[in-house]
Amino acid sequence: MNVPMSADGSPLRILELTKWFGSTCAIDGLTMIVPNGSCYGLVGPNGSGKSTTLRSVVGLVRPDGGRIEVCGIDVATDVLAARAEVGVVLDPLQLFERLSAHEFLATLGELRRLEPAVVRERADELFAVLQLTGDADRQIAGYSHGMRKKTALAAALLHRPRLLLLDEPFEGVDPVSARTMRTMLDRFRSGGGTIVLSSHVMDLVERLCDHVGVIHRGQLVATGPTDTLRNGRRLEDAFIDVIGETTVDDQALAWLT
Amino acid sequence: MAHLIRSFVALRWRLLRGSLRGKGTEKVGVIVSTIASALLGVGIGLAVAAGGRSVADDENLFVLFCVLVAGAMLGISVVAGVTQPVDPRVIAAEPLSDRDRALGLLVSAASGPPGLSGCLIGIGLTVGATRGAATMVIVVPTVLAWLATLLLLTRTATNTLGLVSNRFPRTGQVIVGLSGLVFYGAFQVVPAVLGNLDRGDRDQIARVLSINPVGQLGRALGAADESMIAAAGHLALGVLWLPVLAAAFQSTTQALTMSTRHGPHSATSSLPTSTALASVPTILTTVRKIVRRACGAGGAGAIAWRSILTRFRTPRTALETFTGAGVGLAAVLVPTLLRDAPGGGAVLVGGAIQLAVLFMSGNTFGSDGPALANELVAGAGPSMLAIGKTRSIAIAAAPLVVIGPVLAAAITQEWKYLPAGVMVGVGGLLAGSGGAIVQSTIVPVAIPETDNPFAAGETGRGMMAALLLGAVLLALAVVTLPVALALLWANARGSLPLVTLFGAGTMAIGWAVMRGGIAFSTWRLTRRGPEFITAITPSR
Repeated sequence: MNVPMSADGSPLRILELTKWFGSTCAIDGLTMIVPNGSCYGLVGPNGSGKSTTLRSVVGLVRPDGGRIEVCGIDVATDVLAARAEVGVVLDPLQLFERLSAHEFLATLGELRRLEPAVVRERADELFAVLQLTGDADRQIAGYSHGMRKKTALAAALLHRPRLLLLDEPFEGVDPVSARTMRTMLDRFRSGGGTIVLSSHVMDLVERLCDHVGVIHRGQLVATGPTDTLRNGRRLEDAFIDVIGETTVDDQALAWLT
Repeated sequence: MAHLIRSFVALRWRLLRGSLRGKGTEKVGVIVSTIASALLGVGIGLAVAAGGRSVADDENLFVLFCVLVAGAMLGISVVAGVTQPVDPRVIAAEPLSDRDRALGLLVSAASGPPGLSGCLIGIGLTVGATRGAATMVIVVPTVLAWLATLLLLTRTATNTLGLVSNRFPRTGQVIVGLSGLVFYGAFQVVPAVLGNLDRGDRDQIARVLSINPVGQLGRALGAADESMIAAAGHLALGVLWLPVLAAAFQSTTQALTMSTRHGPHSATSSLPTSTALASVPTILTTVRKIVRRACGAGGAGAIAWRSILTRFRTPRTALETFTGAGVGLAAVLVPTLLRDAPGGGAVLVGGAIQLAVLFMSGNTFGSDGPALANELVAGAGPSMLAIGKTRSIAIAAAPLVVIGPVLAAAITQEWKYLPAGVMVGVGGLLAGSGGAIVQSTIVPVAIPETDNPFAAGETGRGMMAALLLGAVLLALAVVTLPVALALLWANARGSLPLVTLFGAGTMAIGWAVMRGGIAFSTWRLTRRGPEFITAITPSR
């Protein structure tokens, strides 16, 4: 993994990112530096700009302003080189429904110019760890949600990326599969990889991520090591402190009681 | 580049193999569509080969052929909706340049059954235009350029449509709907018009059509045996726009890959929602009230009303409704009205709207799967479901009962047949509703609810549904044959009372067919409820 890095060693630097959709400002001058080898949790309410930020990193959204560097590569000037360093699991998932998981990975391997034997070997290992071996030759269309997530994760890891972007990776995944996926992500990090994941599940972010960024209305309103941000509280409480709590009127829904 | 082409061809064939490994109907559908593509290619290829070698003035023939086929392919690609063999968004994050991705998608589009068809037509065109080995120097590149034109034109149109549908669903829906009407209308009219032209007219049309790049390719084919230099000139003019088309395809592919919707509700809004309704004209509110009342009370009424609301708020089903209506009316009215003296029979035929109803609602269950599952969970029984959906079909198509006969009466000025025409229309509506509910009960094609503009039902289910549509139409024709013959007989005698009487008879038969359809649907849903829910639930 000999890749150029930015001066501070960060595999992902987002500087003053701005994105408008019509008259809606989705990202408003967001700046985010992801430490090398970290697992960075991006949390925020629905519509806060998490997915748009992640899609911008791989050039699937064209920013209106700002700069994104992946491993020192400016995404705006060389998106292909940047993509070569990134593995990504988007939400909603984008898979070829009529392929089997093996065929899906073989296709991606071909597009990334990996040797077929290497693809097969890595795919077999990935499927074994993800407990997909028995289903890897079935069509993806017949998979459960969790199996689809695991297939997408395997595809994202296939080319041994430097940076892994995961948009809601554990949504709809059962606890056993989630634990398997976490183990795999830990192994990825121990090999020097960096993970950025977005999630609504605070417990999971708390357990998995050593750094957290809170995004709200397109801005990074808080960021830092998870323990620092928590400051002795649960991450959920810290998050609500930052975002602000929505209270429910005592009289509302009285008919339910 | 060779590696890229190999990868995308392999992907295309993996996808086809995947469909072949699928369920029975899907497998049958892939096989049938492949055979149909081959037969189409062989048929058209043989026709153009024979025509090219036998017609004296082959230059005009090639111009007409090249331009009309290109136009038809363009129309089909728009009308068939936004479908691509490979969804570019699945490979959006892969390190492929825009050019490589575009090339790969073109290769994958060309390497399936439609590509087979194109190759066979290309061979036919080559055989038809070749006069000795020397002419092949011009003919072969010209045919290749024409095939490339077809590919780029259709794919760019599909991309553009996907882009518009993705960003502005309502606009995309209107474009496809109008294109559908124009295409099917042209499909009815153009062959009849061409058949009535003499040679001078055809030459004139060919001259006009040759003033475009595709027409120039036709002229190159025709001139190859007379003047190689002139043919080469036409070929050069014909390929001039290929780089422009390629650039357009590449840029639309890139835009589509990065395309995002503006807001979570933009995909499902062709009619105003109830909160927005206050600001729209009163007429819409009135129509809404009438339709709600027509749906009736109780569970079946609620299902019918919900079905109509979602039908017009979902771009795909709204589109099916409008194009189905246009296709059905065009198929019935155009051939009749093109006759020298259409007479009062045209007004009666204008009421034969069952084809339109079947086109509009032949997949009423499959396009509504998740909502129906919710209704079943909420306590709707099979009978309530069948009645509610049948009502929604009939109400959505009801305007055609008036539009068809009035249109025909206005053109033929045979107003005295209008009441009978409307009665035939009511009969056609009821019978068509019964047929549609049977069709959608037997082969529902689950349509995914997704923001993916490339999403479609499973491969093959559509083919099965098309075969069933033919069978249902045949069955309806058999059931209505006696009263149709009686109507024709009465019309030929010019007896208005008898025509009116038999017109009323069609209503009775239509009612019986509809009741029979509901009974069949109820019986089948009762017997195969869980399998039915599985069948109408999209995999994603």
